[in-house]
Amino acid sequence: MFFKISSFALIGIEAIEVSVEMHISSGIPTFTIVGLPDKAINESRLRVKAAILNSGFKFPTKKIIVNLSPAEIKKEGVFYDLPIAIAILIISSQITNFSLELINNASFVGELSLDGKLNPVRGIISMSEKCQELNKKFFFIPYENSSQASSIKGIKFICSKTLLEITRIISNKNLLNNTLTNIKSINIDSFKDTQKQNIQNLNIDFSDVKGQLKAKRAIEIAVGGMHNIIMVGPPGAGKTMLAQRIITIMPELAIDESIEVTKIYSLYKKYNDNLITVRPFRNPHHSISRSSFLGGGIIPKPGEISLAHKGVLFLDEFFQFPKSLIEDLRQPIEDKEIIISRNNLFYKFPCNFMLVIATNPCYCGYYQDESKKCKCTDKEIENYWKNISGPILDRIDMRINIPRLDSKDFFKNLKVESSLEIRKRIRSCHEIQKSRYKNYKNFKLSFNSEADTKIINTWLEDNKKLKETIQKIFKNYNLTGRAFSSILKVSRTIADIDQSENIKLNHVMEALNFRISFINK
Amino acid sequence: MIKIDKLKTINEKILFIIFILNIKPGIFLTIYRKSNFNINRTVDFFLFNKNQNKINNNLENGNLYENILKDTKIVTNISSNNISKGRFEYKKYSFEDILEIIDKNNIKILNISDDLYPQLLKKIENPPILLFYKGDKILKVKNCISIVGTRKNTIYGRDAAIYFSKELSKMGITVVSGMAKGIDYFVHNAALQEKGGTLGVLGCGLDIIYPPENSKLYFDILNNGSLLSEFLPTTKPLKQNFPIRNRIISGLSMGLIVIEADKKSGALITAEFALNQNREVFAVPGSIFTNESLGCHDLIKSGAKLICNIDDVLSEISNYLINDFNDFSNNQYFSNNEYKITNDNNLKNKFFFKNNNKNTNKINTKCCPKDDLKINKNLNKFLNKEQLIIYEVIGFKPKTIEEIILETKFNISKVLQILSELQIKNLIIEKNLNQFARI
Repeated sequence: MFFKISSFALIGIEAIEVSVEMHISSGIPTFTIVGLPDKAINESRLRVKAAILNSGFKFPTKKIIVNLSPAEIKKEGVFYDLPIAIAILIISSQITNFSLELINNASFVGELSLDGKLNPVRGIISMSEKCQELNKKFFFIPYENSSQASSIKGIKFICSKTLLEITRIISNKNLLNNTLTNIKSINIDSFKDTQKQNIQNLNIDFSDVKGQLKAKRAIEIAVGGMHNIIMVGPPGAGKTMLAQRIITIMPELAIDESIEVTKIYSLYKKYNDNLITVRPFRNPHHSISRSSFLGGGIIPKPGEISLAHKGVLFLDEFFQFPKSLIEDLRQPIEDKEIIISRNNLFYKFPCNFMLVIATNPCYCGYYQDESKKCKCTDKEIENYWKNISGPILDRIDMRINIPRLDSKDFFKNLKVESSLEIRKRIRSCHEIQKSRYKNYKNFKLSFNSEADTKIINTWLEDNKKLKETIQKIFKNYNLTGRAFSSILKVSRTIADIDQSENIKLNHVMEALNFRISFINK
Repeated sequence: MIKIDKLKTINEKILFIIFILNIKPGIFLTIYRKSNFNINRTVDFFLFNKNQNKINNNLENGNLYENILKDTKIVTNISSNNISKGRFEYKKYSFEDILEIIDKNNIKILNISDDLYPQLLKKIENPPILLFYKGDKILKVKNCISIVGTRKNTIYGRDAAIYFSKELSKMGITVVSGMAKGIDYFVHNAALQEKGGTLGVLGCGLDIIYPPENSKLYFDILNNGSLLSEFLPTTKPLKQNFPIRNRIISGLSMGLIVIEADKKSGALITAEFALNQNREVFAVPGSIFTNESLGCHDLIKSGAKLICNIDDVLSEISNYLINDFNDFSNNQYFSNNEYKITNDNNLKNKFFFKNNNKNTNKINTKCCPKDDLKINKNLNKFLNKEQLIIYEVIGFKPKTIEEIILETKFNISKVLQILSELQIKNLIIEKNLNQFARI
């Protein structure tokens, strides 16, 4: 006898449909799974058997063969416990009274525990999206995955806690309809409320940082155009503190962005909480391995750079990171995604992050510090900065110094802006950019930092006088062509924050600050 | 007996004694002085007397003299008398290699008995026995003044260095310095333009260009100056070499001018040598708000002469000036100021010492370095209102951006703008991190 149930496998961030095919014949009782299963799937035989018995069913004493098709793709994980169990129950006629139409229009994933309970699985959002794409009507998932799944519209989720519950739902149409009403779909208002609450719960705000006005302004501009930023300063200057607060001034995640981020996180671990509503801030230690930084493993999982998607990737003590690791960042920064290839398959993970780098100015850390004297020789400082990779530095538009500030009384008189105020400005700045880049049909970009030379040249087309003045200044400072375009990109963002249609000289003048005062010009 | 005639010149013999036989230069010097400054006797003493046993042993073992020359390896950095310990240079050269390098690089040698060996240097406590040089200026030099200072100079220091160096060179005085980055570089460069020329004293072998940034200067200097070193060619620029060469910088000259020295600057070591060698020490004052001139101020406090212009220097050293006063009279500097020069030595003294002379004031204003910065008077035309406000807030004491904002009540964006405008106009400079001061 043959029966077939639809389920899913994860390839990178995408899911593909896997049909769980089952054949039962008489013969010596065996239970075999084929189709390149991994250890966890092979062990599912035992889980399924125990769960079926403990749910009050009988396990057929026949020869059972399960095939996970397409058979050439390696499969991993515990998604197939539920579909295998359902297939066995149906094929051995223990579930009767079910409609074949329901089964054909449904997909199943779930891990079984020995007592028949359903445990949550990874990657539920990716699977739901695939489900939607395949025009399946029903998706049977573990109850604990329900809140994440509910963000996908157009599918009916049946979230249950046990195997027994599912068998009942399958065989009883009324029960099916009842269960469906139990799940709330997420509405935008409640999403925004929880988002607000979660941001508040972070308990950090830009107003916590006293002084450092230049750095704050730089970060505002950097977020405004999603420019990458490097902060150079002695120990204890507040680099990390500033970096942590960057996510509080970024515009809030829209609901589809939130789903995208949650999708990645749900691949990373069994993330059965609600949607992720706050932009991620990833701060990997410099001893991190290559595969957990970029993503990898025998069956690739997202790394830190993908976990920082739509958020901030903060590399503290930048020079401590292995050089090869930093070089590997080049392509992901350009493409906003990383592709890892394994066994003829390409695993794609998005990684559209803002790169924030912090480092000391020299070995001892106190170069050009006001009160403490630097012990390094010129040669040592030169060598120190030689370590930074040119191509990576080229991709960093904003470069600022963070000096140590004594907590002097006069800071009390300085006006401090809260994250909320800054966020408002940035939001409108982002909107301006979005509407501008809609018109550039040939280019896919949404922020100033992504603009290439062709686009940059159009900015100054109208104003030749300004162009000449700028070029004169640049000659004075001995700046390269790359520096030219990077300063112009920053100027464009400053103009956007200023709500000015064209770049003016004063915008360029301000942008210059974030290049010329940098120690290593 | 050994065939000493293989060593052709006296210089080669001395090289052999110091670098192959490893005689300490101090011992050589004592013997030299004891032998009534007869260099030939001194050389013979070492070649035939003291080390005869050693050399004889070699002969008995079947080694010929040629083999000694070929096989003995010279460890290049124990070349100087002051080094007792320290890192050894592992790249070794044979004596013949060294002679070849000297020949190839056109390096010439002066020994302590030469008439052309600088007279002032001869008289210091521990003069170098051999002085390697390139460029013939050293043979003609009469009056020298050294100028030293920090490698991390400010624009003020640069201007002071150029001013003093140029003025001295104009007078026919040769300016000595250490061929380092910063102040030294500007000193050499400015002195080269005028007739006085310049001497550069290196802390490494003459075949090595250090620091590499100065390579253009290295070749320029050979036209109107020379490069000196007491270190054997191929000696690397090791840390410990520089204090040793500093005694030559001060020893060569009548006086030492210190421009911008921090508390622990190498220039202060030179100043100490100068004091021990009975040389005049001059110090150029700087801002009290920054670190760059702290060492100079310390020197002034302990008795060095504060100098504001070239006259302050000349009035002290006029005693030392060696003849050829006529030479000065051709100088424009003097003819412009309507001085009538005679050969009378007294007059010369009078002329230099006249601080109360009315004409001195004239000179003061004329060559005062401040004259170049006339911008101050036209600031109103030069800057707009906002720029003026910020420029006025920024003083000579470095101010943080936060302080500027508090005092002007401008917003950060405006302040950053104006700061870079002022920087482009060369009115202010960034000191430390995010702190600004006037130039």
